[in-house]
Amino acid sequence: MYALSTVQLAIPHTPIRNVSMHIPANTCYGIIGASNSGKSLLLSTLAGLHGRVSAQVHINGQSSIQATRHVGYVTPRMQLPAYMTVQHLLQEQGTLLGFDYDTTISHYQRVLRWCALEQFATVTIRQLSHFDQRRVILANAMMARPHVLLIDEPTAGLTAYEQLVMVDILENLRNRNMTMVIATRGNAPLESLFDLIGILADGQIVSELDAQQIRTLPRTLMIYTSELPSAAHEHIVGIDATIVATQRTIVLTGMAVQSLSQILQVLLHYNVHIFRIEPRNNPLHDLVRQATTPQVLAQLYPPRSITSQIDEHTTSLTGA
Amino acid sequence: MLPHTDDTFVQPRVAPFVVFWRFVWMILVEHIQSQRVVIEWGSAVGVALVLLRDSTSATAVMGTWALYAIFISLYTTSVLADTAEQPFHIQRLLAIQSRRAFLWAYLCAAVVMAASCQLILMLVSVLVAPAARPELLTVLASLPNIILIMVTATACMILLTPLVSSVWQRISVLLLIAIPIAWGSIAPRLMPAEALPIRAILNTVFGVMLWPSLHLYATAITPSLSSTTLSAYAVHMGICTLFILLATRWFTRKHITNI
Repeated sequence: MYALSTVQLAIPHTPIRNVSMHIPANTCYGIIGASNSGKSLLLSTLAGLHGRVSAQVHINGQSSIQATRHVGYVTPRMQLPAYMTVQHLLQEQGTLLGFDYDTTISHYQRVLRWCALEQFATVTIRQLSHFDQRRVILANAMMARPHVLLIDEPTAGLTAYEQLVMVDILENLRNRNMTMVIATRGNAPLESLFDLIGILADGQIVSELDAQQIRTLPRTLMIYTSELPSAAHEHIVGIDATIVATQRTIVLTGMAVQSLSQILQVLLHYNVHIFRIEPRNNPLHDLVRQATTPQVLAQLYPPRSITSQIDEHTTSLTGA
Repeated sequence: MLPHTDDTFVQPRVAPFVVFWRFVWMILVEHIQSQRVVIEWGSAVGVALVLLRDSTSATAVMGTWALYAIFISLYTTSVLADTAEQPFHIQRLLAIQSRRAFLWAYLCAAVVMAASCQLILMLVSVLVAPAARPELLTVLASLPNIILIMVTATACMILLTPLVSSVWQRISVLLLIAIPIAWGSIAPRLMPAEALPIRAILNTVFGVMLWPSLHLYATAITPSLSSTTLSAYAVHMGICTLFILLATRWFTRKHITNI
C-alpha cells in the first residue's frame, strides 16, 4: 500500500489537469515545478483541503478527507498568533488533537526537540525571528505525529545558513518513519532530502526521478585555488579531457565531476591552496527549466506511474 | 543529528464533544487575548452611555437592545470568521478532523461573544438609565427572541463571509436579504405604474418572507406569548437551521487553501 496516491487528479479551473502520483511509505517526494505550475494547489489538495476533489487522494488507503488526522501541512504563508508562547500554541494543538494532558506534554517536549526549539518554549511568538516562527509552524504540524507531512517551500525566504538548518531538521524528521512531500521551485539544499522527484508541468507529473537519477544529474563544479603550477595544470587537464583549468580556477562539467577526488589529491600534492569549491549550476533548477519542453523530459525520466503500470502489466502477462 | 525518541502514533483519548467545547473556549480566549474584544465590549458600553443615558422610556431601551443584538452578532461573526480564515488555522482544521465541527465551533463562539456584549449593554443601561429600567419579567420574556435574533444574524453573516462562501454565493445571499428589505424603496423606481399587480404580488411575497423576523423583533421589544409568536419562532428556527446547513454545506465543499 502506498502512503499517498492519486490517479488522474484534475482540479477544474486550475492548472492541475491530470496528476497521478504513487508515493511509497517512508520516502521523501519532491514536487518540483516553475512558478504558477500549481505546486501549492496540488499540495493543499493532497492535504484534503479541496472539498470533493481531495476525495481522489488516498493516504494509507484512506480518502484524504477522512485521513486529515494523519496529515501535517506546512506553508510559508502561515502566520502565528503573535501574543502566544510557543508552549501555549503547541499545547493547544495537542488539545485539539484530543490528547490528554500527559500525552500533550510528552508530545510537545518531543516536538520541541525535533525542531530544535527547546530554548524558545516560553518565548512569545512576536519575539521570535522569521526562521524560528517557521520551525514553530513545523512543530505545530508535527504535534499530530502525522504519517504524511506536506511542506510547501520549506526554505523560501530563509538565509543560506537557515536553509541548511531547516534541511537538517527535515532530514531528522524523515528518518522517523515518515512520508514527506515537499513542493519547491528547485532550491538546491533540499536536493539531498529527496528519494523521488516528480516534475510538475503542464498540469501533470511529466517526469519522475529516483534517488540514483537525482544523484547523477548533470552538474558543474568550480574550484577556486591559488595560482596553479604548470605541472599541476597539466596533470589536472590530463585526468579528463572535459576539465577546463585556468590559472586560478578549475571547471568540472558532466562526468568530470566524478574526478573531484583525484583533482584534490593533485592540488594537495602540489601544495596548491583551495579557496572554495562551489556548484556552478543547480540541477533541480535545470530540471524546472527543461520542464518547458515536457515531452523531452518525459522521455529522459518517464513517470513511475507509467513504468510501474508497464511492470505490473508484464508481471500479470508472465504470471498468466 | 537531533536525539532520537519514541516515534509511536498516539490515538486521541478525549471525546470529540469535549474537544469541540475546548475549541470554542480556545477561540474565545484568543479573541480576548488578541484585544479584538475591546471594540465589541467597548461598543456595548458606548451604546449604553451615548444612546440610553438618562432615558425614561423602557420601550426605547428594549428597542435599542434588540437592534444592538442584530448588529453585534453581525460584527462579531465577521471578525471571528476573518480570524478563522488565517492560513495558520488550516493546522487546527486538520487536527479537529471535521470541517463541520470547525465551523460550528466558530458559530458557537460568535453567539457566546455577542451574548456577552448584550449582557454588558443590559447591565450598563440599567445603571445609566434607571428610570427606563424594564420589568424583570419583561426582560426575561424577551430573552428567547433576542437569542433567536442573535443566532439567525450569526448564521446569516457566516454565509456572507469569504470563509464559507464564494463571491457569487455571497452576492446571491446578499440580494436575497437586501431586496425584500429595500423593496419598499426600490419598487417604485424599478417597476412602472402599469406593473402594479406584479408589484403587489412581490410586496406580499417579500412581506411574508420578512414577517417572522419583523414579528420576532417586535415581540423582543414588547413581549407577548401567542400562537402567532410561536409560529414566528418556529419559522425563524427553520430559517436559522437552513442558513446553518447551507453554511456547513458550502464550507465542507470549499477549497480552503486560503484559510
